[in-house]
Amino acid sequence: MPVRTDVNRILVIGSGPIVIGQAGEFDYSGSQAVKALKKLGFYVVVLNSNPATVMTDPEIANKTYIEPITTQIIKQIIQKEKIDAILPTVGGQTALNVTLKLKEEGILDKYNIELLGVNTKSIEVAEGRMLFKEAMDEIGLKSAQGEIVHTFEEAMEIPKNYPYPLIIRPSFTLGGSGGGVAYNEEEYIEIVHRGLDMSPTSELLIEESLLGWKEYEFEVMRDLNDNVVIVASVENFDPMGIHTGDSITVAPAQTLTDVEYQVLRDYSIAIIRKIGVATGGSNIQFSVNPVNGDVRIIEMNPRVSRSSALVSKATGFPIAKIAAQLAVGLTLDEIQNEITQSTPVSFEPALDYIIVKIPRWDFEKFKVPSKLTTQMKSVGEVMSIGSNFREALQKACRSLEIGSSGLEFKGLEEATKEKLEDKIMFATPMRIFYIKEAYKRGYTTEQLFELSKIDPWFLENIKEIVRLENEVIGQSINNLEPDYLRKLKLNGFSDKQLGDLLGVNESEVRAKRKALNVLPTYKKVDTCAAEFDAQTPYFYSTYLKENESIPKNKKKIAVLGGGPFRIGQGIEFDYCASQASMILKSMGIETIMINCNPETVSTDYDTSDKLYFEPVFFEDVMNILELEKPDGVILQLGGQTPLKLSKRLLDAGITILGTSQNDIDKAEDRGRFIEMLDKLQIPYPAGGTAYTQDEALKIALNIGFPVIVRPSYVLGGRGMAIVYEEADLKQYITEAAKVNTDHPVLIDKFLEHAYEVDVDALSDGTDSLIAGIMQHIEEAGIHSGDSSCVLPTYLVEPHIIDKIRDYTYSLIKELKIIGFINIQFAVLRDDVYVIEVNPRASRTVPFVSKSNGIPLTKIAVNLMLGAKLSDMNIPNPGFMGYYTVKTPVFSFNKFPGVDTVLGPEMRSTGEVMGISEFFGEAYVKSQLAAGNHLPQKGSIFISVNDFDKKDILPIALRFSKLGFEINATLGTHTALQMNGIKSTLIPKIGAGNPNVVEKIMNGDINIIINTPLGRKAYQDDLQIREAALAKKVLCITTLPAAKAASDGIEWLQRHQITIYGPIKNRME
Amino acid sequence: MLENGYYEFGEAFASKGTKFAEFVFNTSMTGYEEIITDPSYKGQFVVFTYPLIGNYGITNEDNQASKINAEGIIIRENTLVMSNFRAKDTLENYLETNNIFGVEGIDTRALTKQLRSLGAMKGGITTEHLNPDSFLQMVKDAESISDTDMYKLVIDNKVNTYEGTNENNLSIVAIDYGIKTNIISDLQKRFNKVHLVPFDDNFDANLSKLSFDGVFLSNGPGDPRIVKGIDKYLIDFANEKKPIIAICFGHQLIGRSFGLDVIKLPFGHHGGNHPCKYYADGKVYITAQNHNYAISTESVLKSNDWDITWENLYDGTVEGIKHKELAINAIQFHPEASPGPHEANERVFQDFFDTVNGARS
Repeated sequence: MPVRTDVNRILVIGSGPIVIGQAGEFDYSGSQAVKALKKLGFYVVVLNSNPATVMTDPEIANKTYIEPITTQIIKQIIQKEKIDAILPTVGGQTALNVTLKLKEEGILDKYNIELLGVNTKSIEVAEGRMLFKEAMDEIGLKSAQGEIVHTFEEAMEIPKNYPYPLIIRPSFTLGGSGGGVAYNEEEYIEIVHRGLDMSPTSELLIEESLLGWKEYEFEVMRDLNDNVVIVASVENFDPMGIHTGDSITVAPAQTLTDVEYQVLRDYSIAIIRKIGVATGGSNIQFSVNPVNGDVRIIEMNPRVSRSSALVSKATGFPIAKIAAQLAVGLTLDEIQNEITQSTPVSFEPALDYIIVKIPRWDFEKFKVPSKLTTQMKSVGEVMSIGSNFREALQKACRSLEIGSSGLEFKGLEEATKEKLEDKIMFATPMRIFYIKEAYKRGYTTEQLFELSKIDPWFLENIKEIVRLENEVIGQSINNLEPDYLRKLKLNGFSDKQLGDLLGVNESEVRAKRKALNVLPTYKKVDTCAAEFDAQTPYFYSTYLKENESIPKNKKKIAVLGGGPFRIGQGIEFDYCASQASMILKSMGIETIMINCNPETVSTDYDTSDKLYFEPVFFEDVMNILELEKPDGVILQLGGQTPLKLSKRLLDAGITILGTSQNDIDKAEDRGRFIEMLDKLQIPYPAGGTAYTQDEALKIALNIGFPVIVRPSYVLGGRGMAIVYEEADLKQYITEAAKVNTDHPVLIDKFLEHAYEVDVDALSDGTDSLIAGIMQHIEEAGIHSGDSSCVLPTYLVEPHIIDKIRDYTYSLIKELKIIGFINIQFAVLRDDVYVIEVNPRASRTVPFVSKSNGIPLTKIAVNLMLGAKLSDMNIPNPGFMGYYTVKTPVFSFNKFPGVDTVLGPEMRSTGEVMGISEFFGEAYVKSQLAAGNHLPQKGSIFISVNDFDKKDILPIALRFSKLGFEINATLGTHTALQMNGIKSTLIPKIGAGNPNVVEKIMNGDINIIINTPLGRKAYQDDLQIREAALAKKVLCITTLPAAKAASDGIEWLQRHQITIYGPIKNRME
Repeated sequence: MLENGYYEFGEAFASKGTKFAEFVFNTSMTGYEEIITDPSYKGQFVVFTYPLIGNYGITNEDNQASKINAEGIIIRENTLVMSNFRAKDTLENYLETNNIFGVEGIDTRALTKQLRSLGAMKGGITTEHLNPDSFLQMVKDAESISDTDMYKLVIDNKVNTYEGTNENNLSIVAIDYGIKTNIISDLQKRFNKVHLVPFDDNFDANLSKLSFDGVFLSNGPGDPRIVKGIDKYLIDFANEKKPIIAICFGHQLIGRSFGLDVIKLPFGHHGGNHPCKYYADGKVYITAQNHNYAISTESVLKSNDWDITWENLYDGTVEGIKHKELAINAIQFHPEASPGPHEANERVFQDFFDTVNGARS
């Protein structure tokens, strides 16, 4: 069927901020879909609240709105842009849910809007647990036995008929939010309560446990002509009971015979037809009993998902792009496979390799037990491709960047037998490493299967890795034969691992390997197992006979990606790396991308001229660079991961574009950094490095409390704390930091009540451009990634701005910056201090680019290639008549019991942007987009620490004038009363009833302002913040945020939120 | 070692010695048990493009004949362990018992590219220490399967009758060139009786003893262009208005018997992921494929008697033909799957049934 001509203007809804369960994969799918639709001639409008996305770049769609994803905003866009259809299937659960709401509110019907790729009926059936079960019954397929409940009382009937463990799955939540496995009544009650709260329809499915069953996924596509293809099958390494997003998975399925595979294939086709997914992709999950092959249908997602992004990368079959083409009327046989350029996409990819995906978790940041359950908790993932499972697995392990160079993790030798078995029985991120440790201790496959229920096929492969290691230990590197070394490499061992086993260092192994001519061979990912000649150069390494990647003799530049998403290094860096590649490509330079994160645009096969899906690990990167011999490598756009390699790459003779290694080191090495600031006479908070507790105390007393402390050997704010008293410092030094001569602690004066300012700037070595000066809304001490900020600054005095500019220029000059620099300042009254300098693209680059309408990455890439700012026609980045507010988004609801109070350690997973002529509206929009509900009336609860008791007064007065009833605990209440602000005293926990937690749980409190201080107050107030999280009450933990909230609420009481207008690129 | 001199060292994990056969590659990711037992692979070494083979063992239930028919398999990695609740035997042991070659540790992708660009070709495997040049000469001197009636090596020499599960009183003769087990069971589901008659010296005598409503021509190994003797029977059946249906090799024999050209494809179709379009409903079916020869599209288009019913969307080759007037309906691909997708099964076997049934009424 030809492309439809009866629709013309299509709105594509993005997935909003990155949260656990909904990450960068939707930027990949969204931008693919938008590009495909635009290419077919449609007028495409994008709505996404997340500025750190490629899909919201003004060049991608015809019109781009960065606004909250709500029905009211969509209604305005429909009117303004005369939308006639919406594509809701590439924006995750967010887009589907808002679409259902549009339908419910009658907006779709009123404006005669057609939904592409799906109808609301099929969303309801697929997502509603009960309807789905019924549908499966109708086509004779078994789903897990269980029942649907809507109330607590109904739920309590279930355990009478079904034995524990029971699985609880809330309807319509993301990534299994609120669900879990209950092994006993106590756990059951807890999870049921939470699940009922979180499901928007208060609906839970409670099911028999299929623990120990095997789990499979099928990715299916269907077109309007009812042609259906299976893009790939996926087998989970972890058996049932762990969310698929938290499972290690492989593709294709490994342990199914053709008969069993075809049964699941037939079921998949029957399901997609039954649910009635009009066109596009779906993901279907099955569980198979390993004892007799019994099959249960687990669930289906009637949209592009995280799995479909993974499968797209695993096969070369671009699901989202094709889904968009199918949605506008094309059929599978009418779309050409871009990889072969000779066959249609109405086929099923044949793989001649295996892929392994391992999730990346950040449990340390949340300080909760790292138990894996049916609720997804990982923040990112890596994928690797290899000839066999062992090779792919070891490559995936070193892609994770957790300090492993393969399947290894130091320090497990110390685990007791009991602990070891416990860690194998109950999955945590470390399980696979403990399995290896168990094999080293002589456990058998039967024993490990008994403990873990992991298929023996996977276990035996881990055993083989251990066997090979034992074989290598004791050998001499000089006696290694090339065939034997090649075999070891084919088993995925890195030079580093082999060096450790042979008792030599990595570089010796590398030298030996090269001398023996044992080099990686690069193979194409071609969708067809070499049946046809492939045009698209998408490669992975292995150690076989033939190398298929033939370097071209032309100008080329390699861009290193950032590896797996994690807190602190998220989609922002993928945005920069992808941009760089696309820009270089458009300049006619051959671009080579190296990355291992399947949830990204950078690993899309058409982002770069050549894509190597490989670990961003020294050995793997170096192998590629030695083969390709690029003219230069760009490291400063992928975050800390590539930057960490800069010294070794430079030593190996690689040309690094942009700021030189020596100057990068000047900013990163603390000693040299302070020396430089002293020389430039730029103030910084006083501090020092302590190797013992006594030294620490001495420094602290010298500079005065409070101090900010952190271990010197970790990055990204991990382990950082603000300490107010001597006793706390002692406790921190002994417990948290375990200070010793190898692990000193850095102690700096904490600038209390200062605010922070973030600067992103660019330089060509002569001229500089300050692209954005952002003012943080939260006060200093809260990690910049967790702070809301506003651009341009508001309420910062001009002489302060001048100082900031001066310092920025002199730092740029001193560091001879070529490309990006990011500087963080703290402002305390009239003083400006430098806190941190990053000689690379920062997390805020996409936000600043979207705010100012200046494509910063494009400029930076040009600068790195030697262009001059004066030759570029760059618009003025000053105030342009509107404010933009960036607000962080947290995934705390995935971690029951987590403390939500913000501190120097970053914990947000994503961000949103609000834009308006008025600061108040921009703030309200950013809060709305972040999912923070700003109540316009009701009760506010205030409990602040002694330091804040003075500054809270004007804010409390403001809320009082806005009509809020003020409640406070004793200390705050007294302070308010003494200053004539009326408030109601409510008891603290344990001091009478109803106490504050009870009031929150009863829904009597609408806003909480709580600024705890010191360790003890943190503990006491934890229950308040937990209750707030459970009841979704806005909980503000800093005074500046409280002030901004009052601005927002005041605005909200008087106005309707309106769209600002499409964002623009002002350089065109 | 291929006829063109391309060679690689690997490790033999089953039978030992020296053997010559035609190299073909198969892109299926599952179904090695069905593939190696499929009689159509007689005279061929199968190169699996999927690198990990043997993972789920051998079930002894999914085989398509009572023994392995492929001459050997070439793979990247033989599994360390088998893991499936139906597994009865390891692949390694199964090959060894059948005295069949298994070679692992080969860059199967590089080998596949050789076969893709130069076509399925003769080659040899040896576990002896031989000089590559002299082994190449041995390969060149070896007999080609294009010169041999391979089907004679795989057929039984007696008539077997299978009771159908269908109460329709329709019986058919299935002419055996090396039929797969699953084709028999699919025919049983549609017809009341299936007489499996080998195409051997007693064919005439055997046929004369049977009464039947239609004729089925099976799949089988080797080059259909050298097969003698079938054309006169087919023309007789056509004259008697006996419906004829066929799969794969049988489909090619029909073409040849009725004056259509049969060509050798560059590297054949072997896999479970080929899209074919069925013209009657305009839909795309993913099909199982295993053939090196095909009826030439041009010759069908030129003829006034035949319609193309199915087309391969990869390369536009003929996947099914139907006679404009007579009840003759033949399919190139494998609707019985085993291994491969099932979706064309219902469609094709219903068409077969309609062809036979329609001629009777």
